[in-house]
Amino acid sequence: MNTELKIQTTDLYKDFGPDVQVLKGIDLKIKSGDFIALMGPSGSGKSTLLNILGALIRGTEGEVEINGRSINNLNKKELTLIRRHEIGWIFQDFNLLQNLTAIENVMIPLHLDGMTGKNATEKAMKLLERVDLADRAHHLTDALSGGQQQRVAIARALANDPDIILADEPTGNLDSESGKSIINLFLELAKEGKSVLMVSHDVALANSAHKVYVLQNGKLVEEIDSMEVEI
Amino acid sequence: MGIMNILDSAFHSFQSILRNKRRSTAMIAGIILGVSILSGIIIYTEVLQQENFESIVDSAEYEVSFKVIESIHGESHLWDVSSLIQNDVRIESSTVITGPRTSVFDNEKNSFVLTLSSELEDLDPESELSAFTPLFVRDNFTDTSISDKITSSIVGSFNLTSTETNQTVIPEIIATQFNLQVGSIIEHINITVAETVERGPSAGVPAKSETFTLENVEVTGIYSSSGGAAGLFANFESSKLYFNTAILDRFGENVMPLINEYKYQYLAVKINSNEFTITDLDLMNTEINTLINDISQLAIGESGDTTIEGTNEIEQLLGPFEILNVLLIIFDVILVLPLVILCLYLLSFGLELALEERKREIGIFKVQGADSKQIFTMIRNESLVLFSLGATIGYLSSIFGAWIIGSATGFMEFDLDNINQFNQFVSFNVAALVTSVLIILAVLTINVYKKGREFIDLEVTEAVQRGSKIKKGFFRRNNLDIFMVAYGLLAGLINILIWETQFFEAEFFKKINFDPNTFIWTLIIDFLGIIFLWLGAAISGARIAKWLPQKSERLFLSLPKLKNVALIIRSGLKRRGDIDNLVFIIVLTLSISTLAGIQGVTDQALAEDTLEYNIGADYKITFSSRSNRSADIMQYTGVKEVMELPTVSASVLSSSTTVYGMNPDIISSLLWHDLGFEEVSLEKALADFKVKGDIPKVMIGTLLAEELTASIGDEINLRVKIADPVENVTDIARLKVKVIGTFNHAPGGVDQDSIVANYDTITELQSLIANNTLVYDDQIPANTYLVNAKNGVDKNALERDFTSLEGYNEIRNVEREISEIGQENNYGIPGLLTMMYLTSLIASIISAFAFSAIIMERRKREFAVLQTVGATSTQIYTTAFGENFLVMLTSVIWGTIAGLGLSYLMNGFFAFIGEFLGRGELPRTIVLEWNTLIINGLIILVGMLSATLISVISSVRQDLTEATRTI
Repeated sequence: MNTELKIQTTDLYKDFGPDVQVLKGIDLKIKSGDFIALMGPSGSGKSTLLNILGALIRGTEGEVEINGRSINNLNKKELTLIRRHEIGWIFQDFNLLQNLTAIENVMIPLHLDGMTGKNATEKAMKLLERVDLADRAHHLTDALSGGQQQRVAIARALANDPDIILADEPTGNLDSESGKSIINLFLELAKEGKSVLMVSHDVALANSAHKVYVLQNGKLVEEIDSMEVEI
Repeated sequence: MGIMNILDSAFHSFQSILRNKRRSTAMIAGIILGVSILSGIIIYTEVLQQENFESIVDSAEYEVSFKVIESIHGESHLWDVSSLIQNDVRIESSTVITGPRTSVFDNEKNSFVLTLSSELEDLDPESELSAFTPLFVRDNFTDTSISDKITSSIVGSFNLTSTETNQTVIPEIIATQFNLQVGSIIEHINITVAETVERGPSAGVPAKSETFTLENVEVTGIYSSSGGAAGLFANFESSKLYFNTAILDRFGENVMPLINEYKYQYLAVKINSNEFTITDLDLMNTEINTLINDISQLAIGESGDTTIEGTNEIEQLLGPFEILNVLLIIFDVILVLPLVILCLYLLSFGLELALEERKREIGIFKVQGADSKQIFTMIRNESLVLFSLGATIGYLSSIFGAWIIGSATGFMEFDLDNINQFNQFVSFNVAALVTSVLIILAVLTINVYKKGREFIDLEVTEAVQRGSKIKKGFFRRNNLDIFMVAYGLLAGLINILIWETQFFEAEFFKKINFDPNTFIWTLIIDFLGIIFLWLGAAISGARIAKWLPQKSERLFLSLPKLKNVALIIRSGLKRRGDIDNLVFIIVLTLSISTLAGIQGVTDQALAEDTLEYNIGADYKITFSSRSNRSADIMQYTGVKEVMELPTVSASVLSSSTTVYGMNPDIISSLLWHDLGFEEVSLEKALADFKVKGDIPKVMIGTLLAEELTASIGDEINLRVKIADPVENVTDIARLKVKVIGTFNHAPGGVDQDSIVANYDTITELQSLIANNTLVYDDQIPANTYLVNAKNGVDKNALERDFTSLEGYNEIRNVEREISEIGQENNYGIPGLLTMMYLTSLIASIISAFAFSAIIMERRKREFAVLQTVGATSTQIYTTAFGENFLVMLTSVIWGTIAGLGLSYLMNGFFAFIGEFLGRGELPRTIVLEWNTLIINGLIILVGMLSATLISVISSVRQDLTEATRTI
């Protein structure tokens, strides 16, 4: 398997105002095929780190590289393209568009990238098959269960073949069974060479990851092999 | 609640408003506009009323009159009093008039009336006591401002200064009837003073009568028929012959006792308006009454009491003036009412939106333990703070706005240089402030109580639930909006068919025994049609704004620029509940601005048409005497053609008429609008006119045609009186003519009860009048000439040349007068229409910003997610544009259609107001300037789209992490 470095941060800091330093010198390396869980108490900076790696915000200091390319000095449009092509986002609340069907939601990133018509439809359908939702392709998202919606969100995240999947509490609104199915999907994706970084409070689910990073007071204090995480 | 608590509460409310500016925008906009419109219209109407009254006072011949109380005092006593008051600064001028103030002398069983009459014996020997009532004035009458008021419309001059020779100034009607001009000598005029029993057992029996004869009376001036302020001063109505009072001294020794007995003289006083408080009618009346008593004091006689009694003439004018004012106020209210309703709706819905935004917040408060009263207090206090802010801004805006409107010289044309006029508006108007504040505050209070309670009473869980159910209103649920629109559009169509195009003719209505002019019909069609169309269009706007984009979605979303965001747009289009109320307001406002725009343009066009009709060519020149001046006029190189406009008085059956002569070769280049022609076109009638036949051809006015039941092809007899001064014989002569056309109005102010003939016919008629002793060459004489200038000529310079012609009296220049239209007293109609137009435009743009801001605020999360999955800023803007463009375009088109319908439905109302205010007789035909309508729609569309795109800016710049964070 290709173990190319997908995400690398060097001495990353993030301040929100003069008195609030959320990240304090994070050094992180994520390779292709890694499935990483990021844990830590509330306010430790997990989501902040995820947002920086997802090119939603910039760090105050330090270097961030995505696929070997520094994103520190990219402009807004370039960051957007990074998000479009190299990163797939999955949220706790799914964040699907209402009044569109499952397949239409999956096609949104394809359309934004200029792929429309039959090509987009076929690709979206394949993605839904991947997440076992082909039979619900033409159902409105309101008509799907939480687990199904999250799987549509995963399919959407995979639409432009990103190398990196960032998931912020992806199982937070799901029951344990649904949560397990989501984790299994992540494991499959990691096997295919994608880098998956997941923020989670669920220890059991975090255990399923290859590695667990713990953030405490803005610092990456531990790197634990998943088997060692206590339930 | 102590003052500190109140201030503290207000401060917190203000803080809350500042933190959530967006949700308060629509509500404060409604408050500002509502207070601004209500107070603005009150300020504007008051200033307008003052201006109108000042204009009445200014144009009145005199405001005060005195008569002697005791018959021993006569005309000379009044003249002495006039001398005494000469130096009073309150008085501009005064003179004594002996004339027809109808005196009634009451006896026990009989009442008497004194009449003065004259007989133009030579000219009108068949008449007995004619209607030509004489008026005797002092020779200073010429120099007083009293005569100035009628002198402006005089041919010749008001020259009665000779105390040795007999002079007279006559009305136009007499001059036309007897073919008199300035310089004519009337050989005999008999003046009769008769005392007749008016009522009682001996009614109708002349009691006393004295006559004296004037010989060789020279006509020194001919004045137009109407004089005086809006014709309200009866003394200067038509058919008065003016003479110098000295004539009574020379010839009237037999009549003077009767005149004195009946106190038939009065002292007319013109006040110096600068010395009176014109702006306060009550105070002005008091000041005038003080003046009257001061003058009465001067005329104290031997009895120790005054010998004269004064009358405040202006006070009598106030009655009709106040009625006029009331009607103007009603008119203003009708025009302004839709705007006020609009603002109240904006306020109400703004409040609803603001509460909707706070539903979650209210729910959380309740969860925390806040009771309903506490939550309601918070909402109420914030509303009151908003109201205070809005009302202050609104009132200040109203002063400025009223000034702008008052400066309107035409629709959307302003004269802002007049700083004195600004000062009139800027004074503090308590009535305006209190009225507007009370009304808006009342509506706000009702809404806060009603809607506030609704939100507070919601269940907690429902309040914190995301999304809200959109409930269709009563009208839409029951499809009543469709019925209302259909009714309104049908009413508009009926209006167009009956009144605008006259598709159905009078005979049709007679056949079906139906009269469309009845009150019931007006109520059913016009009144209900207007309300149904306006409200129905606004309510159904959302329905149409959904349907049309749905139908055109496929085509629209296949456009290359929209392809990449088509899916997102489709999602947004499905969520159209957000936009229902915006569409409602857009259709409401755009229909009003369209109505105001169309009526404004129509008003302007009517004013121009009326001018063109009255003048008839580039210039209309009037001379003091009748002769042929075509060569004199043609000497100027700028002149293209000249047409004499000779006239002859004639009768047909029992109708009197004036026959105007016109040159058929020049008629087609006169300002003769096609619409003025009935039955056959102007072109066809002119072609026929030029062809000579056995019988002379004429075109007659439609009113005369109706009176005579004459139509095209009929032959009628024109009857004229022959004057034979030698034989002292009078007879009549007849000329048979053929009707080849009928007109509503003809150039040069030729009205509907006149006849137009060619010069041969006029010559023939004049020859008959002169008993065939007249010999004319080609040079037909006339007082009035219609002149067309060559292209590119400086018309004002040419006008100055004409004023130097011998005998010149007056000139009308159509180009100059059209440019000065706004300076006439239009009773504020252009200003009001401008106000409607601007206010509705402003309201729609503010609404668009307010609603767009809130709608985009609700979609912030969605836009953040889209950017997270790779949408660029441009794609977000394109999405917002694509979602809203079709809906807004549909709203704009629908609002314009509704406005068109309203214009036709309200045209009759505007025509009625125009006729009532004496703005001319021409039919008011809607003028559609399509570029104005398109620009109107584009302004709204661009405004709305800009509002949307500006609101999206904040979404594009937002912190994506915060927006996508799980709440």
